[in-house]
Amino acid sequence: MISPFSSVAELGAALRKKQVSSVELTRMYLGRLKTLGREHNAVAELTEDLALKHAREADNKPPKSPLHGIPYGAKDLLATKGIPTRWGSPGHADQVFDYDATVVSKLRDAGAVLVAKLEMIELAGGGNYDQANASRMGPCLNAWDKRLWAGGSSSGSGASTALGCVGFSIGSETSGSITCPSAFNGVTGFRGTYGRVSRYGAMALCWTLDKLGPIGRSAEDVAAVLQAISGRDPKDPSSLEARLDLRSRGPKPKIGLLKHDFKANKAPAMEKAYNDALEVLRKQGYETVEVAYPQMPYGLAIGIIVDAEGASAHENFIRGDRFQLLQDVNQVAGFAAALETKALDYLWAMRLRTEALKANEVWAKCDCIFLPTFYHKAPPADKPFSETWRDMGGDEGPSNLLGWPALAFPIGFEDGAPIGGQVLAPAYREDVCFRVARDYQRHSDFHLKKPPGA
Amino acid sequence: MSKSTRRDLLRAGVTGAAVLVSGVASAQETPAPVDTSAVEKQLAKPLSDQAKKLLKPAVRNSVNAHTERMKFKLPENSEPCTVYVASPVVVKR
Repeated sequence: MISPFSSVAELGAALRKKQVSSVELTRMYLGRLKTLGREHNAVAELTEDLALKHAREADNKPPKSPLHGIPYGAKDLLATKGIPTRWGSPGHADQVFDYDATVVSKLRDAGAVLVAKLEMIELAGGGNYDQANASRMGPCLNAWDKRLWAGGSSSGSGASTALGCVGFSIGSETSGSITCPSAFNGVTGFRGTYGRVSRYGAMALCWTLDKLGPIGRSAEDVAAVLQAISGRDPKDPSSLEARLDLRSRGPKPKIGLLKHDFKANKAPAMEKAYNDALEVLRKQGYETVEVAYPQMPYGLAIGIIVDAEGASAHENFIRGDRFQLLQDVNQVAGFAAALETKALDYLWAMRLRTEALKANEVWAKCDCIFLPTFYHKAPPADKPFSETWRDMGGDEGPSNLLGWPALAFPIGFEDGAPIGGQVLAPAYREDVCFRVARDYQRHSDFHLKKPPGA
Repeated sequence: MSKSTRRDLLRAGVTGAAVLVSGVASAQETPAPVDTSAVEKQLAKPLSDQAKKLLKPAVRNSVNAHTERMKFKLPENSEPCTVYVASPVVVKR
């Protein structure tokens, strides 16, 4: 039997050679979702009957794409016709849409098989959650160590991909929600240029910041999924016309390095992993150069935008009877307070984004930036983050404000749990992220490691 | 390095959301009183005691975000990153 940790290319090849059927793969992944997935609180809804129907259809049709017949999971903020879409929120427990999100339609057209909706932080964490338990199914547990959190808000997407419960998954990110669970679970996750993937049918947290993207077991897998889900969509006015081209040509991209204080952040494991990763790339001819962003309050602007757009997008719910069903009372307080966000503050933040375009000057010195996703492994799942989230670092620059793509992948371990790095590139230059990550993964094996017990 | 506030960690990108300024006052400071009644009046049901308690720092964070953002002056008359683009209308007669 084929390994549940097989790459998309291996799964596709086995299907085409009839070494395995889509129905067999679907049953295998459904079985793992029912056991491992549920044990980690990663599953929002299994789509068993529909999945088996689609798998049988895939087995009886010629391949439509490299994803044909491959089972996948979708973050539970993507609308799926007739299947509950609860946004991770107890207050939306009975929500069912009568249409599919564009990403779901595109994957269906590509022949992929949806096996599960995957659990997430309620309302993508827009109210400032303070605990892993801010989710309808309880805290999503880390694939490598159930005492740790799986990350958020695409928690189930990260954990189930790492556990070999799906061939790949779809997550979403406003500011960190794909890269975080990718780092904490040791998988490869990608957020594209803002607009690269249609947001139609995805829960809005912030219309001007939300991005959808794939999580998989390697950059190669993620690239295959991205090809299938990207593209202009008339239903999403922010979707890009420009064609996605992941073939990077010419000299090796020059890698920009931001300043990191590993000692002050007590991060010797990350210091070693980061320097080792750079060494792997330098041996392949990559050059590095120190870079810095212009000093601006990027994080402050993101926070104000999340407050204003999040409160507006969910205003009916916040003002309604079911609001206090939210799992984390911090979210109740945060969303309620966000109702008072001033229009002038929001417009200041949106004007700061114009000013932040100056940060694009960094690309005069380098073609991409490589940085730790976080300095440390995932925090414990059973304690408030306000007590445990220390010295974590993270991408505090303009990348999300400016819609830059980011590819996150594992580069090492801290006390047995994964830690990761990420490659940022200018808007529209996804090809650079993939070139660097593919080269790294060809000469390293962290992306091939499997969680114990999985 | 110091302990992060809840909003710091979110700003660092732990979530779908990111965050506001690290607006929680330090232990030495006496937090300025905040009035949460305007918020509470907008909600369908009274907040639980715990939510009420948490609402104060949440509103204070918003106030602090406003104060912080006032420190960073933008060029006078600069435009926001999104502006309205008029769409042509095709009229069938």
